Amino acid sequence: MQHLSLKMSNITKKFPGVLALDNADFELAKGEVHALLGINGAGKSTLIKVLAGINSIDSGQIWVDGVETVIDGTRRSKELGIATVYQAPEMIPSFSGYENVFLGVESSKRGLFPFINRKALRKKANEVLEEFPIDIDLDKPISDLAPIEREGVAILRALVLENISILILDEPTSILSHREAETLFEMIAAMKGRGVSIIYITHNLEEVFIVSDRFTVFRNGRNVGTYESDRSNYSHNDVAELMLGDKMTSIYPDKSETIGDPLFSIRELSHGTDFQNVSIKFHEREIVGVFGLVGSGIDELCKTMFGDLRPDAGQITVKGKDVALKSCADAINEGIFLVPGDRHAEGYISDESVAFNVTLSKLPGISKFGFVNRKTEKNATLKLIDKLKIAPGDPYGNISKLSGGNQQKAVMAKGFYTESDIYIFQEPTVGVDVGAKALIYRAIRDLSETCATMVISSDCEEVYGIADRIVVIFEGKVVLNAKTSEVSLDDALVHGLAGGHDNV
Amino acid sequence: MRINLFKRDNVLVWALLVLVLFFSFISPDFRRLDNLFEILRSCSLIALMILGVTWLVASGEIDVSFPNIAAFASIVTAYCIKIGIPWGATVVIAPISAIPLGLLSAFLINTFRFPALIATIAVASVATSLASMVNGGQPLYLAHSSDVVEYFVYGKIGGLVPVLFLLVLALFFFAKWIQDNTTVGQHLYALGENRKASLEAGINEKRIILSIFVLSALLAGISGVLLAASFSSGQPRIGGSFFIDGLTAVFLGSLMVKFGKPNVMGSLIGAIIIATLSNGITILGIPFYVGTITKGLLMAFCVGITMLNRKNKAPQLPT
Amino acid sequence: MSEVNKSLVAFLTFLAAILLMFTLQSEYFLTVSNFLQAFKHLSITAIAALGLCFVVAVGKADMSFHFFSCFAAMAMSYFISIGYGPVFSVLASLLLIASLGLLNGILVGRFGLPDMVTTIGTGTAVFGLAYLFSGGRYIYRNFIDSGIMQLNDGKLFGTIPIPVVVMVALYFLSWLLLHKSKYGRNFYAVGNKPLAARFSGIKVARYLAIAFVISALFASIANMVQVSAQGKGEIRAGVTLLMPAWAAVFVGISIFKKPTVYGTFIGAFMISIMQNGFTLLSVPFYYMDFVVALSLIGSIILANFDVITTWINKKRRG
Repeated sequence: MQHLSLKMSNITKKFPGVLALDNADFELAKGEVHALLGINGAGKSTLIKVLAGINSIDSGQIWVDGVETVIDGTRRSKELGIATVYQAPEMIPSFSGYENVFLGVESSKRGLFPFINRKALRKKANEVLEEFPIDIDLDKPISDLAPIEREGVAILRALVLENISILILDEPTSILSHREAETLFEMIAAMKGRGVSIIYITHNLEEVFIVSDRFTVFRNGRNVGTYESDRSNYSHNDVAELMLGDKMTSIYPDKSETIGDPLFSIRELSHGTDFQNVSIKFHEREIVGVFGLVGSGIDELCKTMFGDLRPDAGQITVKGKDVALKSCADAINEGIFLVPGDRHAEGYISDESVAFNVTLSKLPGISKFGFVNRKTEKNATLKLIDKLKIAPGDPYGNISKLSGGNQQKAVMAKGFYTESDIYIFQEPTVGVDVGAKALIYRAIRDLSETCATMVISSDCEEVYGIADRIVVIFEGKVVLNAKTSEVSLDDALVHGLAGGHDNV
Repeated sequence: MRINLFKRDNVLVWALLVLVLFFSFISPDFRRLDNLFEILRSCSLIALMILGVTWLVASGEIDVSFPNIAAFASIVTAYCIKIGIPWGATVVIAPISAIPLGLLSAFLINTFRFPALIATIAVASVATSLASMVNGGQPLYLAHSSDVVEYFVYGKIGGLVPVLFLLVLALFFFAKWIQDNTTVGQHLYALGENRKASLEAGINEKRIILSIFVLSALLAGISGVLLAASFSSGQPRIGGSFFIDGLTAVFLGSLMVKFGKPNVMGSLIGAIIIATLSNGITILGIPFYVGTITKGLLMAFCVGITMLNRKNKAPQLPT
Repeated sequence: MSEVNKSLVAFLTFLAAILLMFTLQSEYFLTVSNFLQAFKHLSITAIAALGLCFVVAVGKADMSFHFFSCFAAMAMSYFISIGYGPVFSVLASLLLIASLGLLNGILVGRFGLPDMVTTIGTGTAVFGLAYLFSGGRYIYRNFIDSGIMQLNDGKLFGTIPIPVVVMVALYFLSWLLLHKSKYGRNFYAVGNKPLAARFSGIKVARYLAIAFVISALFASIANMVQVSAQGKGEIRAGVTLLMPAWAAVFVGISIFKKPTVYGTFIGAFMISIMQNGFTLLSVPFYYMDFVVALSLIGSIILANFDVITTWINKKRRG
């Protein structure tokens, strides 16, 4: 066990209703870059939260550098030399780069007034930085830095730990451009040179072969295999199959055969630097899937189409009529509904009943003379609970106590209750288990029979799986707009990652 | 370090200068040197009270109990003197007696997740009623005064420069050093700006909040002793003017030095501006309520400016 | 639900204990005339708290309503003193105060200024403005002749005091609005998650503005009753509304886990009945403040029972 930096065995972690880790094993050799793969809900994020000391385990054993240990808090995790760089690292925006690097560990002194030696910190941060092929002005406030520079600061923050031995990178490229990602890969190589073992979490199969020595695939909370990252032995499809198991084919409903009347279109829509000249047409019986990375402008596009942001230029047309949307309320009146991506902040009202949430966007539907009729409310909610199989099916149950998938279904039910003509589903299955996923896709497909539907997501596979037409947005511009049957998943992915220019 | 007076961060210094010139121009009484120093003396008590408040607001909390705690300490002072405790002991006992009130606020916030506003409203009420219980709600006159304490309150070096202001100034420079050069200062701003990031970085939120509340109560307690000396009595219900003056000074101060963030030097200058305003209004014979209106508007204005400059960034002020 | 029931039972038991104590201590306590008196007193706290309840329901804090109420009462007294009738005086000052409340609403709702600090600022400014009516002096003129004092002394059907009638009416209307109508849901949605509310098609800024207007209006009504009871326009009369109103709303929250009309009433009732009882026992006013503050602290601590237990366990372990 001497050569192992980390060994985890038989780790089990239960959350209410979900078995996040099910007797999972994981091994990390010293000085290797080990990619961790798996679809959403496979247990990757729980695993790293266990290592970071955020989640405690129900059972299982962990050895760090050959010594069995219990990680009971973030402090302990740090003491063990484990550092995590999260997907969107939290920083103090007005603090300078080096101040963020040393946040919380500015001084080893105790006492009433532990002095911060800014000069020394700055020097130390810059010394570590010099080993990397990137130049960051660490005196600038974080809010002025580019995404890769922030990522760099986050990595520096991990590396200034005196005893760093294991570094966890959680989807580090998701907010980086293609060029920036390459810089990151060089940084990873440099870190490897320092003898740090790295766990690299990603959705991007290509990155696995570029960056890692070995990779491990997680599925349903279990380790389904660890392999050498040798491009000649495994194709993307092999890896994808490992990740998905037998679910790859069954999860998505059939594609639509025919296309109905046009219902909705956007023409030359632009919003600042977020996206420019985006034109998409939407028809009945056709699901349009829009794929773009986080930061590519898809979030702003959704919000513009739903009236939450005002376009600088361009036209939104509903059923042949040009509309100017001033608010979300306007959009709903025009028959547009957005099922937002950040369910917890934008989707549902917590600690209220399912019925409260389902009927919220069309309260006149359940009220007479302005007063709510509980019976109408109950019946309307029950109908949608039944249709979307929301469990438990109590219309007056607290929505905060439902599982992620059922909360998502309740938010969708809220949309369905408005009987809109146009539905936008933003990241519809984030934090949703596989069973609920299939149901959500089915519901979207059923809806598309009579409505224009759009699924907008940073998960290419999902977009490819559900959509009849795929639109790919890269750095705010449409780089691909084609029938799904006419392009391959790889092709779509390449467009989304690099604008379709060079090989990834 | 070069100080550039034309930076946005220093606009307030100019505002103060304009204010002083304006009043000086129209009132000969105002521009007398002893009056100008009197302004500095009169701002000192407020400044003392809001030092802790400044840091609380910077770390995303709020304290509305500081005037009430000062009132409580002032009556404790008078009571101690009445029952024959010597001044030397009283000046220690009274400020220390204020600390439990700060502890109570911190305890309610840290342990029971009270919103800081509610916790400090409750503590303010506790402080006022405790203060009233000492002498049936009436002011309690000091049985005898102390030359030393009087010297701190009224003393002037060279017959001109108020001792109190010099002491407060020294305290503020020390506080500035703490704020800018120790982890406590660094962490309280980190907390105010991004609580999640701060907690992830392992910053001990509860300890920081506790220590600033204790500091705030202690300083309010010290001001209470000085108040008792300057009124020759302990006052259970000090007028609400300390409250609005203090908070306005804090938010005025957040417009300078560290733009958008309350900070000690800003608060000191804020307190001087408020004192100048009050003094000028009194000397010109303008009804005092014009001052109240102005301070209220000033406060809303400061907040507005800060927010407008922070469009598209996460708000940091307590909401 | 069971959790709510538990807190409710705890509070009712507490309330019963208080009532029992006062009954034993003072024979006058449990009489009709004392209860009418107590309710009259209750109505002032209860009405002001009810307005604040709307602001807390939309997730904001109002630190200005007590100052606004001073302005309204002085405006009313001023109108009375220059010869207008009570109805006009009341309505005109309510209109004035509503527009000032709207200012709060716009600053916080439309421009997104931080609620607490902004309302402290506007409240102070408006309190300063209230001095314009008389320079801070009492306003007596026409007070007795105008009939404004009927606002406090009048009785419906010769028995029920007008303040109580006003309180019941406002509570009933607010209950309909907040708990029975479709608009009530929007208030709660806005307070709970403003973003989710916006994406549900709710005009968030509008509801914030309405809440601040209601808060200013209700506090003003409460203070007008108070001023007409005193028989003179006194500028500081409304300042004391702040603490009991916040306490009432928070006691209500600690029972029902969210700001509600009935919770606010229970909170106001608990505070008022204690004040009334202590008055009968001739306890000085500042003890009452103490009790109000302690009951606020106590009720919230009681409501966080889980926190207490974990805290105690932690102390034991550590």
